[in-house]
Amino acid sequence: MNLGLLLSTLFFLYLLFDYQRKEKIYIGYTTVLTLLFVGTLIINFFSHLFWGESDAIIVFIFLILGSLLIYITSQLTLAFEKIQTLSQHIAIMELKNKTSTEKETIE
Amino acid sequence: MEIIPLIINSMKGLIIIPAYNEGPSIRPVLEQLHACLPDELDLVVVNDGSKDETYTEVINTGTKCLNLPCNLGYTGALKSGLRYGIEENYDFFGFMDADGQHRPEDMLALHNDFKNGEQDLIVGSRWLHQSTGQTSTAGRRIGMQFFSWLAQKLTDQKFSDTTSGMKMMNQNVAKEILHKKFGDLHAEVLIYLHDRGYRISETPIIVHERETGTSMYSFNDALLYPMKNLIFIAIFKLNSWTLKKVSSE
Repeated sequence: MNLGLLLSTLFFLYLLFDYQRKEKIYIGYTTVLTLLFVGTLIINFFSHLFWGESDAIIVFIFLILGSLLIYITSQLTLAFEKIQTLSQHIAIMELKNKTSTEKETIE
Repeated sequence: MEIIPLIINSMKGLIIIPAYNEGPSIRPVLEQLHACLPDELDLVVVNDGSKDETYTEVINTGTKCLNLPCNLGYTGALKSGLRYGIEENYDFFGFMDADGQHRPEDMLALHNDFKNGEQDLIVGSRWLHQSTGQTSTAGRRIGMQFFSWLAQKLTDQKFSDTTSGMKMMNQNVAKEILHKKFGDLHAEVLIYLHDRGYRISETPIIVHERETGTSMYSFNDALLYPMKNLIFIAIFKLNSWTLKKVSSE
């Protein structure tokens, strides 16, 4: 049961990473390391047994790291949006310039 | 009533063709299109950061080409074309694939239906035609049927082909697509637009088998596709429900 859960989680994570790679939402090493570090522990974070065994400082560290992870992911999406807009502007300007030059040449 | 078709006949349209590594197939597609497109329809190819000779092939045919400096994906390429078209004041827009699967005469059929002015978005459907030339894998067919069923359930309108890449839309729909985040512009966009009162219909088309190049969906994408689409649909439905709730209160 646990092995099945672990394998399906890993497979799902692999698919998500593959999707992000294809959509050019690159994840830096920092994020991967944070994911590996927090990801393995965050599963326990939701368990009531973990709460009983941990002290407050560890919970605090997890909360900080979790927030950081969400922040990094949202920033990556914003960065992708910026790249998309910039690429579109470059291509549109290039085409407009080319069209106007062609018109001037004809005239 | 007869004024609307007259106005649409004087409108200018832009056919947007996204292309990524379509060097071997793009030239015949563009030559066929140039041979049959009427004056009111312009053509722009969006070269989505191709690594092959796609850009050179497009330029050699004398077609306008938006040359993206990096690969933005299918939706990103289409949005680039829409942004260009809106800036250049085109009135309506068509989408077509660069791999030779779509026929230029089907784009003309969509244009003819669009001219009536009764629809905001027309989708080319390969399953409305009796002698459609396309076959697909069982998994793909199940996915298509599931999303067609879901779209029908959520909109009370029959959509036979939610994954079609051939579409024609007016400027209002184009602006919605440009400013909102969508997946691959399939079932989720139809549900979103239907919820906002846009009129959508289907026109039968024939889709050929791909002869060169590879599909944009890898095995992994095919597994993630339903999940991605379902998330988009859930978000849109939740937004619509919240808006209705707020407006009724």
